Amino acid sequence: MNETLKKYVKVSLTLGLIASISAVLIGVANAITAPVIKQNEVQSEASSLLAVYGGSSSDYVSYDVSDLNLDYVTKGWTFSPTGDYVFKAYGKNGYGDISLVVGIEKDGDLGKIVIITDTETYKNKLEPNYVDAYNSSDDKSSALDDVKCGATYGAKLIQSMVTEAHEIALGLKKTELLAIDFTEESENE
Amino acid sequence: MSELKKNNIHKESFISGIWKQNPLFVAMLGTCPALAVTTSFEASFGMGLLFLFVVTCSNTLISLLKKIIPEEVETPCYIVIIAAFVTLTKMFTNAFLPELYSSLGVFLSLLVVNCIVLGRAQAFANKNTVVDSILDGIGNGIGYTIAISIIGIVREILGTGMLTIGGIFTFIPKFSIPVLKFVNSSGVVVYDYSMSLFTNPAGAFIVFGLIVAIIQANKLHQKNVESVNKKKELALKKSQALEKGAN
Repeated sequence: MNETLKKYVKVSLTLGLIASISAVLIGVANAITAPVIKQNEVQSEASSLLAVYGGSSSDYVSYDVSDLNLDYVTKGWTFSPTGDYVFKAYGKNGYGDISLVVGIEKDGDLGKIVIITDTETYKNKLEPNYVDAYNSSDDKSSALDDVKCGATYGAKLIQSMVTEAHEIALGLKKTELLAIDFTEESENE
Repeated sequence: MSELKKNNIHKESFISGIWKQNPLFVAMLGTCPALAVTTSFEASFGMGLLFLFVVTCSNTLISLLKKIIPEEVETPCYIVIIAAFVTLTKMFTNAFLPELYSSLGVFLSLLVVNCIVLGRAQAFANKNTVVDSILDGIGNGIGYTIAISIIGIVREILGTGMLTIGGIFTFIPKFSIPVLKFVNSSGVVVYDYSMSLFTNPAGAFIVFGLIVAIIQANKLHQKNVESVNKKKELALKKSQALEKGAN
């Protein structure tokens, strides 16, 4: 074996060894943390749902829509006997990602937004100046459109997420079976 | 090498990162997260602890593997090791301190390309023993934690008027210490001298600049005092020599 080949083999083996050590460490950490992270997400989702709906969280039907061709909405709930909706949405931009739940009343009026996770760089502007302002506003449609808050891109992302949820609730976004399912379930209840 | 000399090297490895070669205030490295996440004391302190973990672990592993890492692929190997520890840190923070994970955002992932971590690996861990590398990592980690915590405290107090504990480390009962802002039990603001500028990036630059200026001024003052003392000693010696000559 010539010297160059020996060198290549040594470099490859070293990189392979280091990558293997790293992979083992990450694998073990993932096995420990994945169930805890999942549990945290479930708890956070449940408390957000309660914060948005405000009523008993047991009287609802949930829909997992993550497989459907939607941009932001990943899950939906219809509540009985009111027929109100709550949607969970996830969005991403160049400044981070946001996961939220938004309530929409049966007649299409926008409800409260609760942020589940927010890693946006301008989070300290986005949440007080946009989300809190929206939640305390009586005219939620205008508050949703007013994205000038010092974190315009984050606000636009939230606006798009809420708009998609709103369109689904109104039956405007007839993507796959989603709108039909919601209507049918609501009528059944 | 004598035991005393060895102990001095260990001590130097540990101490220099904390004060003499503080990565943030003296070496001016790692300023990006220091300016971005220091809006609150808790977020800054949390970032400092995670940094301490990453730099210590990566220094340890790099020092252990230094003899088998070929020179040609040093940097890629260091990056893989650092990235692995940052990923571990992210996973554990997300699982056990989700509020801290959320507040640090993208800056936790950016530790992979933090120049202090890579700098310590290249400048220290690949040339020194495992014990010294661990001590260097801990020293630099503590130095960085102290530095960003100072910026965090100043910015939080000036920007919000209060120092809040328990908002991110939720295992501590939440409480706020009013400093520049006081709200009474019925929710009425009694006084508020906070300046929101300090919660913005511009405020971070101002605070960082002022702290560095104070440290540099102090160093310069000490240097001047030392040189004046030396001159005095020299003058005294000269006069003593002249007196002796005259006698």
